[in-house]
Amino acid sequence: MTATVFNKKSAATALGALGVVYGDIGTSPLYALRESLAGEHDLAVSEANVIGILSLIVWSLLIVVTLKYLVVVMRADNEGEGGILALSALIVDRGGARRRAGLIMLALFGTALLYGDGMITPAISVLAAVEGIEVAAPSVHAWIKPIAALILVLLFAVQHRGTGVIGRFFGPIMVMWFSSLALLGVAEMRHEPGVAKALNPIWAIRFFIDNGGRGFLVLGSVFLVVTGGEALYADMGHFGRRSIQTVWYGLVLPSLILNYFGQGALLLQDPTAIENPFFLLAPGWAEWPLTVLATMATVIASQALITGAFSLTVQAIHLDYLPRLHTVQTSDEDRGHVYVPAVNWFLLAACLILVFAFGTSSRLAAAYGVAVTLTMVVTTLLVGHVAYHRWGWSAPAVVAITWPLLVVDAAFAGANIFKIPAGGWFPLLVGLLGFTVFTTWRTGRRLLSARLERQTLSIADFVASLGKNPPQRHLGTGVYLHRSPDRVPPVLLANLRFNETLHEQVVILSITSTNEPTVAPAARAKFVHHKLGFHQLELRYGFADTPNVSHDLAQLVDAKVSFEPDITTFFLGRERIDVTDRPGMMEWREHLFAFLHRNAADPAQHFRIPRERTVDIGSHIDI
Amino acid sequence: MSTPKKPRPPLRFSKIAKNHGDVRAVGPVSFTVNAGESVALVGHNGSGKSTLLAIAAGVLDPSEGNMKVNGIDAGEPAARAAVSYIRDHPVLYEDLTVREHLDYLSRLHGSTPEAHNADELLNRLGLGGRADDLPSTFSRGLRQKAAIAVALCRPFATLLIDEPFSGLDDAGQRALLELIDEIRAEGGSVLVATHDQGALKRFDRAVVLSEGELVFDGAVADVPTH
Repeated sequence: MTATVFNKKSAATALGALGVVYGDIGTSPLYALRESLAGEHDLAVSEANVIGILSLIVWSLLIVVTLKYLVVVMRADNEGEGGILALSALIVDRGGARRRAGLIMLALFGTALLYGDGMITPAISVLAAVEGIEVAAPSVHAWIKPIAALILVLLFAVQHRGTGVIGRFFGPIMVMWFSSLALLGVAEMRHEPGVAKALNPIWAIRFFIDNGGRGFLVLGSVFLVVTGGEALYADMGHFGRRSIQTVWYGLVLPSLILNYFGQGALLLQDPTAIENPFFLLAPGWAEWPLTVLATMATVIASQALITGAFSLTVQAIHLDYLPRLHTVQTSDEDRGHVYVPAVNWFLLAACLILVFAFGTSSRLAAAYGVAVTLTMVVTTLLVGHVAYHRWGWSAPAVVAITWPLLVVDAAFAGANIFKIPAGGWFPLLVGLLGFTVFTTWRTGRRLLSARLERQTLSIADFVASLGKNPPQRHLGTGVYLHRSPDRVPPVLLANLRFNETLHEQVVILSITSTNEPTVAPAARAKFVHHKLGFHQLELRYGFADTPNVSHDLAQLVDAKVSFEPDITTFFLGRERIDVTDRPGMMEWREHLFAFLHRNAADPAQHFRIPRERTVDIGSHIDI
Repeated sequence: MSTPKKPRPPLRFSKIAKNHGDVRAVGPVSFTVNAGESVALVGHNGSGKSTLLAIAAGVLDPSEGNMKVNGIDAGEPAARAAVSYIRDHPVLYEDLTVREHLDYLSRLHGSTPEAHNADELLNRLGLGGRADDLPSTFSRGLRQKAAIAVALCRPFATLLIDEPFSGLDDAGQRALLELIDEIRAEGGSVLVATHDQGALKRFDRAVVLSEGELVFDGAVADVPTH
């Protein structure tokens, strides 16, 4: 009985993984081969070039996606969570604090770059699919951009329903999509079975020898085949490593190879098919159904990056690289399922701008991949570090695995650098902005804590000093939210100074997030009682938990403290940041920090502290 | 055989007065509420009813005089445990359902919702289908009903209610009056602050305040009409 339930659940999970995780990689056949041959490279559609590029594509899929991500990188999960940020949390201090800080900076930069390419994925995939309509009905040309924009708006509008629901709906479509890829490929390969020789890597090597520098540049386009690799890793927390691997070997990898080979077979017979080799694979009657299916598949492809962006954002908030943003847990059962409205609308806006600014998938392809290749280099470096320091791999083993991967990563990155003038600057710029926000928030928070810390006392010292000169106390419980559990919050001092009275029971409440995904309710609260009715209360939440302070206080029936609604008051400090010329950060960064701080989500709302019983006390902090 | 001690009244107001700065809000006022008795504290807005209730509940200290609950100073833990107090504007947490409130507050007072027939209580107040809803989504009347349920779902000797009738519909008022009768029948006492003359006849006694002073204390039938 249990076994059946388990299998059913993992089948559903695998289907969900298919929909969301493989969307990006699965829709690259729409444009990747075309861009590698035609596009800006303008290579002759000759047998040597077609087979050579097919060989490059196959081996990229095998080395980058299969070997690097599925075999090596996915071993680096943080309690099931994947992605470059979760990976960075695994970096250990061994090897020196400075090296650690350097690696974390690299990871942050890699993360920020993901947002840059993340904006392009939906735009390029949806455009490429809608361009299929042009093959079937050339007169619709003028409508391509508006149709793509409409699809994107609809896609982002349903995000709040959560990936669980979306994934269940997407899974079956993707099964159809990958089956179609395989069928179309096999049907065409019957006419030109010789394409299968591209499995032999010698053709890839020969391609480089024949084409020299131009052959190297083509790597920038071949890379389009594997851009989804990093997103796949970021989505791991949603679906689990096992189901992602099963689906890859069982369906996705064979379908992709067959389809690329089919496109190659078509080009060998009819070089003019380079105009749109994917859609021209289909017999006339199938053009429309294929366009519809491709559009649905690209919508799903976009989902891979959107979901990844949500996960990364939540992790960044948890690791204190971003201010609190309003987040919504979309599934009670699955902790990884979140929706972040601000990120959602930001991505939509960026996608629409890209669609209208670039106009065609071909032009967008020139901008795509620059950022993610750099992220992939960083991922390899980090995994090397984790393999050596955490998994206890020997140095030769680490070198043997990571150096070849780094050579491949570096080759792709090098080829992509040439895309910068044609639009590659865009994801890099977004990445740079993201990186600036991450580091500014982090540094600002450190400065702020240091300033506040200097002004405060420990609770024990404060209680001792209070004993000598006791203030008036009045009935009830005063709860003060503070980030460090054993320090006296400035708000409490302010309240005492202005009102000269304190509640009979004073609770200093700190909410901490742990490095585990969830904390068991029984382990959530830690109470420490001091003299004179002072108490420290720590509530611990995992990074995938949704904090609900009201609920958790109501679980605490403690003889010493009551949180009865009508006698309990919550005090929150609202620090207003004033930018001064005190040493800290550069002034523009201090302004950025002040802006982020002002716009962070309301803590009472975020932690579910009873709003009607909350008093905000403002203070000015100079940084 | 020992002589039984003279029973201490559930509530004894002795020369209670409350000043706000230099302004006298109420008092000095003296009266008692006895076990098994329901008393209506009547008066216009600003006559000091709510202040007296808050003092009896221990959440407000009197400026003068002495407030005893079962012979103990109001505000002491044992005194607070003996009174259940429903404010004019009931305080409930936005993120706790009605059931979670019942559960928390009854456990806080060493009891369980089951011991107070919580489900039946909710049904009688017309909240049967709303137990798992958040009170922040309720109208004023429903919040009032939720607050009544919460106040009754715990052990107490005396119930203090501030203006319970103004927000309640007819069915709610009837249910509350029935509940008050039951509390009294079981030996509990009830002090209700109200300006609703209509509900007066259901009480044993009335204490009338005017501009902070006690102007009448006696049978409901004898309350002077303006």
